[in-house]
Order: sequence, then C-alpha cells, then structure tokens
Amino acid sequence: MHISEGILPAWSLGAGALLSMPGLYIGFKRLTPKKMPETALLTSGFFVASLIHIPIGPTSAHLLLNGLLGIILGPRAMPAIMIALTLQAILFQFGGITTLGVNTFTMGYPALLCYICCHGIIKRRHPLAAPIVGGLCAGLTVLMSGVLTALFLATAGEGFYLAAKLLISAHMPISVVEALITGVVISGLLKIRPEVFEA
Amino acid sequence: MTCEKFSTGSSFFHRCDPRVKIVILTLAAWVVATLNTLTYQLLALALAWTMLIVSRLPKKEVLVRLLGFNAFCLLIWLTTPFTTSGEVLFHLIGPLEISKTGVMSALEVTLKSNAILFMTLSMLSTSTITQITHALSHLKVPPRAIQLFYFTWRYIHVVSQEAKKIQEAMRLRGFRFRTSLYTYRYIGYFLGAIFIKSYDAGIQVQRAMELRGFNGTFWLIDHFTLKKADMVFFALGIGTIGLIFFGDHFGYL
Repeated sequence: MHISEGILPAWSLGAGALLSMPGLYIGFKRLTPKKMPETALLTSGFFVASLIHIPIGPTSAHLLLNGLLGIILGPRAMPAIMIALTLQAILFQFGGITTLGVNTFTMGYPALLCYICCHGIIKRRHPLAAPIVGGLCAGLTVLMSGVLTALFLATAGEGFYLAAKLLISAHMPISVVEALITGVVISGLLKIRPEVFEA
Repeated sequence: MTCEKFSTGSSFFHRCDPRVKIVILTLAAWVVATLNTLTYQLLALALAWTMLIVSRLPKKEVLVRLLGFNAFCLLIWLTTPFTTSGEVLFHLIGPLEISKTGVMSALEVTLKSNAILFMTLSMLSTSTITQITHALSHLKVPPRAIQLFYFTWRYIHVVSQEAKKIQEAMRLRGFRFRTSLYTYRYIGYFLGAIFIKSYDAGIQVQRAMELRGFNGTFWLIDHFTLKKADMVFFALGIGTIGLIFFGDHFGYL
C-alpha cells in the first residue's frame, strides 16, 4: 500500500524524500553499467510479480515482495523500488510524484534491512535454513513497511490515526502469506539458479 | 499489459513538449499537495479538470481510473470524520460523532489528490514512456536513474508475456487460486520461474550489450524543439502555479 498524493503535510513529504537520498545514493553507486540490464530485468520481474493477486480468505491482495527484492538485489533494491514506484505512478496513478520519496523510504529501507539480516545465511545455501530465515525476514519486512507507512500517514494528523491502524492490521495477513511464498521462492531459486543471490 | 493507454491522441497536451509538461507537473503537484485553503483547493481542482477535458482522453478509461483511485479516498471518508476531535457536526448512532474538522480534512484530501490525479493524467499519461525518458535526460536527471527506468519499462512487457505463458500452462493443468498452502507453494514456484526468466534474460542482454560496446552512455536521438505554444503554456503554467502558491500562503482573494 502506498500513500497517495494530497494527504501528507509538506514537511513530512520533504523528510521522506530527503531521508531516502542516502539509500538511493549508495544503491546507484553500486548500479554499474555491467549490472544495469540484470537489475532492470529483475525490477520488471518484481513489477509483474507484484501485480498478481493472491487469495487471502474471502479477499485477495497483491504481494509487496520488497523483502525478496532486497535479498536478491542487495543495496540496488532502493533504486529498483524507486523506479518501480515511478512507473506505477505514471501507468496506474498509484502513489504519486510528491509521495515518491516517502514511498521509497517506507518500502526501500526495510528491504535493505532484510538484505543485511539474511544475506550471510542465504550465501551459505543451506537448503532448509536459507528459505526459513529468508521467509521470516521477508514477512517482517512487509510488517515494517506497513508500520513505516502508518507512521507517515499519522503525520497527517489525529484524524488519520485510525486509517493508520487499519493499514497495519491489513499488512498482517499479507506478511504471513509473503513469508510463506518468499520461503518457497528462495528454496526454488537455490536449487535451480543459486547465482541469483550473488548480489 | 494495458499500459500507455492514454498516450495516443491529438490534443494540445499530446503535442506539447514533454519537458515542459514534466516541469509544470512536478511544480504543480508539489504546490497543490501543500495547499491549505479550501478556495484554492477548489480552484486547483477546477483548473485540473479543465486540463483533463482539454486532453480529450477516452472517457470510459478515465472513469475507471477515477473510481479505482477514489476507493482510497473512501477509506479516508470512512475513518477521518469519526476520529478527529473538535466541534461536532452531528451525532450518528451511539458514540459515533462526525466532527467538522474531520470532514474538512477528508474533503481537502479528496480535492487535492483528485486535482493531482487529473493533472497527471492530462500531462504525464499523454506522453509515451520513451518521450518521458528523453525529456528526463534533457532535464539532466542522473543517467543511471534514467537507464534503469527505461530498461525496466522496456522489459516489463517481455516479462509479463513470460508470466502469462506460465500462468496459461498452470491453468491448462487445472490449477486454481485458493486460500491454501498448496496454492501459496505453487505461486512461489510461479514467482521463482518469473525471476529465473528475468535473471537469465538480464544476463543475456548484458552480454549482448557489452559485445556491442555499451559503456553506460545512452545517446540521445530525439531532440525536442520548443514551439511557441509550448512557451506560452510554460509561462502561463508557472504564472498560475505562482499565483496559487502565494494566494494560498499569504491569503489574498
């Protein structure tokens, strides 16, 4: 879930944009011309994958996949997320121009944290530990993104606290499903193409 | 993929220089997003609405986008009026009270976000992504950001074709989406297959480009020329944005 335009006050929009700068800087630094096609293709892969609707009980939701993106792309996940958000804003009018910084912040930093937490374990390619730890981290990443989004939403004022709380509770079932699916993806990728994880 | 639906047309915004559109839209979005007074929010919405009409986009498509977008505003309307403290407008059942400030802030959000949506539709969606990429490079956006943007866009179609093929294969074998661990496991395999295909294609593209001597430079072949109409629109746009900004912050009108 991203924050749309016109809700947040100027200071919080500015803060989001400013705070996501360091992560983006490091990410773009790592994004050498050699890595460009691979990063872009994986970004489009994530863009397409996040459009798939997953049934959860009576409703359906789409996955965030930022945890897995972090695990696979490492620091390059931040630029990838920013680009995916820009494309969503242009093509589907999700999110927006002024909230690009905030949304990059709420999606990007949890992805980076997820990478830092589990790339050591995944590098060892243990067939059981890697999917479990990776899946758990990805689930927590979704929750963290939900909490950060809710915190930003709360800067709009007291009237938005309930919406923010609802947002966090909506992220809970998604994070469970995302943890399960990410675990399966990691175990599959480790069997078929382990070099994907050499970020 | 149903993308770039609005980029074909012959209205003023379709013919306008993308550089002008991007600069005006960015400024306008920031100014509108931070408007504080109702008068100027209404004015912004009216202006944006006019622009949407001028851009002559397919009505049905626009309506679908508007409805989808306003589902989010509905969430705000369902929560904010009940949870803001302050003057009570009227009582609903039991403890539910509708607050005046709450209604006002929900209204503000709806007006501002719709105004920005109208502007995005009329100014950004009327250009193709290729035009936007070129315009961004002429506007001196860092080349790595532009390349990632362009490559990602270029390959979304390829990857989504692949995804469709896999999905079709799954359906032919009788797979149905349900809330079950089985479904989640197969969605996991499905996503894994998408990533493997994109990774492999990425490596291939990288090798092919390296063989052709790619060193990180993208040469620009489209050069835009500012027409008279573009300059008039630019001047008018900047003027209007300035008036709205100062009017809103220093209160005349």
